[in-house]
Amino acid sequence: MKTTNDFFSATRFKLLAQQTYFLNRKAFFKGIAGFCGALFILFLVMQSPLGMRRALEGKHLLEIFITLFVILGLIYIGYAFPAFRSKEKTIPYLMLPASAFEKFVLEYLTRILLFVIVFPFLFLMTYMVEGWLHANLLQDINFYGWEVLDQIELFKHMEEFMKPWSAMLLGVVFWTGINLAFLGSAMFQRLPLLTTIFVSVALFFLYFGLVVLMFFLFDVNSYPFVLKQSSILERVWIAAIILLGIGFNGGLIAAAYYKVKEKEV
Amino acid sequence: MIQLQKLGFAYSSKTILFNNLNLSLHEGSIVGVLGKNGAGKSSLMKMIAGLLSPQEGTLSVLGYTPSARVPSFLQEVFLLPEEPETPSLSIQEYIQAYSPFYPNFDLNLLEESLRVFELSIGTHLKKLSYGQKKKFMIAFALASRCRLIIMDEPTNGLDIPSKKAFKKLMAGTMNDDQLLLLSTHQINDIESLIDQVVVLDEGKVVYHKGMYQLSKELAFALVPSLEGREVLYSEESVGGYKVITPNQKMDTPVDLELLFNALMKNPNKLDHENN
Repeated sequence: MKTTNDFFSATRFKLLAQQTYFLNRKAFFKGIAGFCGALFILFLVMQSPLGMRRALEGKHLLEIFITLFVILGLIYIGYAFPAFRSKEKTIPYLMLPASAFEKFVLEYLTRILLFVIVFPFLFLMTYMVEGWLHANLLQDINFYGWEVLDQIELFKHMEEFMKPWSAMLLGVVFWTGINLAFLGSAMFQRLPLLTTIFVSVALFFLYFGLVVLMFFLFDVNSYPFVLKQSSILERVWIAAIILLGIGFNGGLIAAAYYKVKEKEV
Repeated sequence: MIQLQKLGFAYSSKTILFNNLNLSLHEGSIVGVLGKNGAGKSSLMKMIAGLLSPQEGTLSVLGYTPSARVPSFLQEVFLLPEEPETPSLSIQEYIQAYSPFYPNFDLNLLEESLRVFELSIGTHLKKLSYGQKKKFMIAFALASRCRLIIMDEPTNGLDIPSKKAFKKLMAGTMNDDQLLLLSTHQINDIESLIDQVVVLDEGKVVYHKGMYQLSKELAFALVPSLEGREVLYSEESVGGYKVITPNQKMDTPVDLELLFNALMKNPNKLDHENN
């Protein structure tokens, strides 16, 4: 393999991706089998006489999905860069002839993008397979099939014009959590997820404390605020928060990249 | 190939490892880097490989700044650490996964090295002992045909026949455009192999000489008594004294251990008296 571009080369990236697949394929497929198996049992129990005795509805599915997505996503993404967990593993990873950018992009794709795409797919597939088998082989649970998706309404009680904004805001919040976990995995060698959560919570409360302090110092309560309730103002606020969130996430991603690039052993 | 100028490095303000370190190494050599525990051998190796950045001075390897770790640099440098980490793969799979990253990878050489080390290509790396893993990684490092190969304590964990095989491979496979840097405590293992010796002590290179030049300048002998001799360094030994004397046209094999002990006692004496 001879390439001249030291920042990014498609040939090298392909080679790196192949190597990553080669090294992790067994764990990857075992993980998928384990996840689907556990989820299958969960659905089976929940819809059996031991549980609800009927098919899961859209709202139940959404609750389970979000809970598992957050917990498993944080665990999976929070342990990105597995080579950074020990000095012995870090050396061959850093010495592998690929650029820091290529290694970073591949890790981001295989951790975040792969999870965001594969997780919902596996979740839904397991629900469908279990539901079909359950309804056809065990008992009639009034299985909804694909129609269950129509029952899911994320922002049910919200006004129509606010729904896309709220969806974007929710996306940015999720993305921030994911990127925080990713940055932590690049930053901390031991217990990266727990350390990240601890540091994030500490920083949040520090910031929150400062805001409260400012309120008291400047006696904000006595200011004659007149905030009119209007849909435009609400959207402007949300747009501002989304933009701020995107900028913040850009910062998190850049920080994670520089952590990888400047890593020393 | 490697240029270090006024290099400074410290892990903390209290533990200064290198202070004004200068060293220049060229291709076509096998260089032994010696030093006491904590002298900074491994750190120097890591710095040359780009895993640590110097805090002062300049470091150039193959014309690159190592700490940038750009791919064109990395594909010319192979670092074998003291405790090599191997993934859960067979030897065959490891070769498939890693060899494409090295443009000059020599599969024939790898097969030959594995044969010399009595390793089978189908063996799973997790089933290998520490010494066997090390042998495989040595074979892979040589087969990478990188211009700079760095090995930290390569003979640790190797049995006696393997050490012999190691020397044979090293001596027979290095090209003129390559540089092999060996860091070790086990001086006897590399004595007959290296053609340059670098000794580190207290953050500096206290000795750097070619073995040929060294053997022309110094003589190493075992003598019954020290009387009537110009002795640069002596040590009591079974049957008399091991001594280092200025060479007076004697052809004696270099005793690296004795040289190292002499340098640790008085780093300036050997150089001073012979220059």
